[in-house]
Amino acid sequence: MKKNVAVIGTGQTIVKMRREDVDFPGLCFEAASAALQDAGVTLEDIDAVVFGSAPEYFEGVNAPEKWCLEASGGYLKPHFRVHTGGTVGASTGIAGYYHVASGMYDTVLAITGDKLSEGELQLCLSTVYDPVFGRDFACGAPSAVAMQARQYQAKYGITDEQVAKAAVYNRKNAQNNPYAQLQLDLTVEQVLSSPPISTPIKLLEACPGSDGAAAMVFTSEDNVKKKYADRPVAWVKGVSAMAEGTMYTYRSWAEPIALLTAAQRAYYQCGITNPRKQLDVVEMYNAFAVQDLIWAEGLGLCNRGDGGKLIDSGAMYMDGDIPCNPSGGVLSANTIGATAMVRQVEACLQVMGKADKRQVPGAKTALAHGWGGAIQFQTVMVVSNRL
Amino acid sequence: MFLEVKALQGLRKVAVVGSGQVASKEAYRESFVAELVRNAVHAALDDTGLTIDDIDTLVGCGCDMMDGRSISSVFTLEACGGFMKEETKVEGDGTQAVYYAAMRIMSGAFDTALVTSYSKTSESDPHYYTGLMSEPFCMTPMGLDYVSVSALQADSYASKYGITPEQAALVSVKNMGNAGNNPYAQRKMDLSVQDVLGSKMLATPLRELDLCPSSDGAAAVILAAEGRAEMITDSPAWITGLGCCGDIYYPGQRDLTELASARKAAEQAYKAAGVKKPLKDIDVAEITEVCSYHELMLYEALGFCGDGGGGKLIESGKTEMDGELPVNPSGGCLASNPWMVTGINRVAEASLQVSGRAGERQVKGAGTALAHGADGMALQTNTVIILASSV
Repeated sequence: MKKNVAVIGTGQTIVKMRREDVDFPGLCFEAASAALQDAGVTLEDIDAVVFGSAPEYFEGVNAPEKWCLEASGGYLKPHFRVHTGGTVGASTGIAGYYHVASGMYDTVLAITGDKLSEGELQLCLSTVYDPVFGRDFACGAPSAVAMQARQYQAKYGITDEQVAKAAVYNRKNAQNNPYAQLQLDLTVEQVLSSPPISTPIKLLEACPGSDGAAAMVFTSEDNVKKKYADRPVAWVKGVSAMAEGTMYTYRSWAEPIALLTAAQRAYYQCGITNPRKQLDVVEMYNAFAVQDLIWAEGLGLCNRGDGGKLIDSGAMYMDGDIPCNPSGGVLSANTIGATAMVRQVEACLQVMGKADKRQVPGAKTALAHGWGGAIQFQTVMVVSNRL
Repeated sequence: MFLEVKALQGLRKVAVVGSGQVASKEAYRESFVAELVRNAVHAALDDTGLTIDDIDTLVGCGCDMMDGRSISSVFTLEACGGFMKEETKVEGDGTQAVYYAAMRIMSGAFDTALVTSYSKTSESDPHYYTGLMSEPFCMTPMGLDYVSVSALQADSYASKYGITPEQAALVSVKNMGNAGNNPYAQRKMDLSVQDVLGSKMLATPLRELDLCPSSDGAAAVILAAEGRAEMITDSPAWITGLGCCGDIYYPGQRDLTELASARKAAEQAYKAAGVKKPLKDIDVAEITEVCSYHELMLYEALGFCGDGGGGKLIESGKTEMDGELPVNPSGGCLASNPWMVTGINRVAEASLQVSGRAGERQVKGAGTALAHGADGMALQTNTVIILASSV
């Protein structure tokens, strides 16, 4: 009963700390145009648009999808906004997938973005916390992940050096990615001696804040057979978006139960029983270097508690057996709104063979991971160039 | 730019199998948002006899700016029953959340879906939170909000077609009168046209009784696929038509009287549902009329009458409870406006109508109902859902 859906085109803007040459709709227009061009379609071919962006406070405009409606291709088309915090990019891609999988629409544009430069980012994120009990503690996102890092590193004996290695390799990968904001050549020592943001997280272990947008064009199997048989496409093979609870004191942030479940569900849909072997490349939402290791465990790339061993082994590097984040990951560019979609875009580019200098040779199956919320939203999408 | 929309025939059938509404009130001072939505979810589960374990996926609907919190759904997720569930959230109008949930079921990935929404407008200020929909460069300096934008739209419409304040007032009289039959409605008033015309002028031509109130509220609806729906209820409300459409953003750049996106959304939904003559083919309509004039405009955009005919239609009595096509037996948005919830209430009410469970506001023999939701300044985006007692 489930219909097969493919991504036939993607687009992303070059990510910068501050884009002063465009407003939010302008940024969306860039990404949408790029995706349409890559897919070889025009707006005439688009049956519906689904838009995603993270908290409205970032740009200070409520219902930003309304402001960006025409620029995102939605004029007199079905158009609504998805917002799930950090995972919004992925949730929007997933929504694009469901539009086509439902059978109601043939070709759908999913588009996401944010201009973090237009607001006070950490102030905005601090309003995530409970206004009565939480706000006095509120110090944005890094402090929440700092708590996660503490729990994780203490539980499994992960060293600061191992975490720093994750920062180093991601930033090195970014040098192959023309869209990445930060392209840094670092050593472990430089990372470890960078100023602390929220102990134990150091500056060079944290993502930047960015302006950027991304878009994807999804279409039906029938359409691929009719019109795109001669081109590489990325078939969506598995999709899951799970949420765990919020009450901080009841949870161990070292155990990403929502991710473990989301990964299991997505793997089940596409017959993956050994992700380390059956996946060729992984793009994860590593906003902070320590998360490289935690998410790797959650995705089953290694055993629980072995994240440190995994990074030490070099398996996650471009020449390893499970290359992660050839794009440079979230550590290298983080618009929040588009970030989780860029993971999906990069995964699609990999299996379509269109990842240029950051291509993992022969990649057939790729995973895109998304993370957000109060550390509790997790998304997984598996794509492949074979049905 | 005509869209080839597939009819829903041939696709997996989805029904609304139950709902729960928390009564709209000016302020729930003793409850916080998680409690409101929890109550709505429990009401919906009780309505269907399901437990949260029977729910395959959750689609929430909310607004960070109203809640004053980023990613505000994060903290109501557990209250919605979202712990370790496949979930997502639409930031917009509740009907869009229902529309997306239906698509998720139609894909075959899920058999049941819970759609939730809440609004605690008393903790916010709708003038600011709607005003902040303005883009910062040219619109924010004008200080627009839902009152002034609705007034501009109402005035354009009234001037174009010679709609009188008396005709608009008839909408308020009808809806707030209808609300008396609705245990969930906030403003239940026995009004005369003179009462409406004598109420305080807010922004020409809108008087206080021409405009929706601001409400606290919450609601939930449960959707299920064919095969499952029939096991849950004897009277599923089948979704036979779905349409969603957005228009130009800047109010000054489009014809505010036309509601082009409402027309297109209705066209898509009607095509799928086989509705050819709305006044005849639809038995009851629940629409989102932010102000009284909007209802008259929507009569035209939804094809209940010709362009400019809204005033005559309300005068004819055809949209009264005993008329040919009763509109807003629940009292609609004029009686209760828990903003993000309003669209879900329209779907809940429409489903109750075709299930024969609408109590004192039941339209006898209602077999086909229309639920309409709107979002954005001056009804920029519109969603239409057709529900029927049989497919």
